[in-house]
Amino acid sequence: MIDKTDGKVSILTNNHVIGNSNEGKPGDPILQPGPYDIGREDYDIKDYKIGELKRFVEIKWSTTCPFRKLYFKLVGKLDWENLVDCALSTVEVPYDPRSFISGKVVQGVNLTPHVGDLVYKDGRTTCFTEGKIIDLHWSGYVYYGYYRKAYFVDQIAITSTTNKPFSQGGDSGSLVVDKDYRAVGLLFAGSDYMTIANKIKHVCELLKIEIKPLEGGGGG
Amino acid sequence: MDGKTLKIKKKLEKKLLKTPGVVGVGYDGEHFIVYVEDESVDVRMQSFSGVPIKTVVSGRMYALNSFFRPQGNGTREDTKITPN
Repeated sequence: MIDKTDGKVSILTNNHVIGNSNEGKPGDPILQPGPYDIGREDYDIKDYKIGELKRFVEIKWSTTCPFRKLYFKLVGKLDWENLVDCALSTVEVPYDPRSFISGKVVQGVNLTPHVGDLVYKDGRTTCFTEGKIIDLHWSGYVYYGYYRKAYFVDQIAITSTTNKPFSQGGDSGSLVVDKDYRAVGLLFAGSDYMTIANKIKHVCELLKIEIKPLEGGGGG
Repeated sequence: MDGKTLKIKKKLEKKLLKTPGVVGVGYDGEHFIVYVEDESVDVRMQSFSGVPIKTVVSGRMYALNSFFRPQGNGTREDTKITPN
């Protein structure tokens, strides 16, 4: 991904993955594998650091304030609306500037996917999976833990085309691509039955990034 | 989705998303889709402002971070980096 603000190759994922759900600060170390997968507490950050948090789009949590609820009722709104859960990190290790899905280079973006389109992702937990878009206008609440939730609108809903789930916990931040390996969404939420992805057009606009096919070669 | 359908969908969202067990509302080009937590949730609506309604059991949506919804037992071999 190219950060349009500085022209540099950067890492795209979710706010709730590297932005600590709005609590992160620019410059925070980004680790690969993440702390959960390192599996111990006595690790040295420098052994796993691959970059630093650049920025994120704030997640607006569902309001609990009675006055705000009343205000929303008066203006005909349901809650704070979110379009994306996304964040950007620098890359501070040697890298290939191209984005890959299961070994194939991502070929830019598809801003106009359709219901019924086959899509793919390559994630940390369920690896490479195939799914089908069932809805391009999903709106609803997404839980972050058991109590905190946020209202998302204009999202892509995806179901698996096989007997295995399209995604599971740990797959957040995966790029969702169409059959031509063009990015259509950024995976961030789901259940045992369905996966929710931000539309890539919202991600690119709000995070000020560009996704385009790049030449190979070393970087960093 | 045209502007008129979008307005109707917003109204449906306001009506349904406060109902226990309703987790989302969508549109597939022909139907409004009401996503529910499980089979026990009965929306009791066949249509809304002339648009037919379809109910889909989707479960509750969670952010798919390992901390919120841990799955699997570690990092994939092909994404591991060797500590310096």
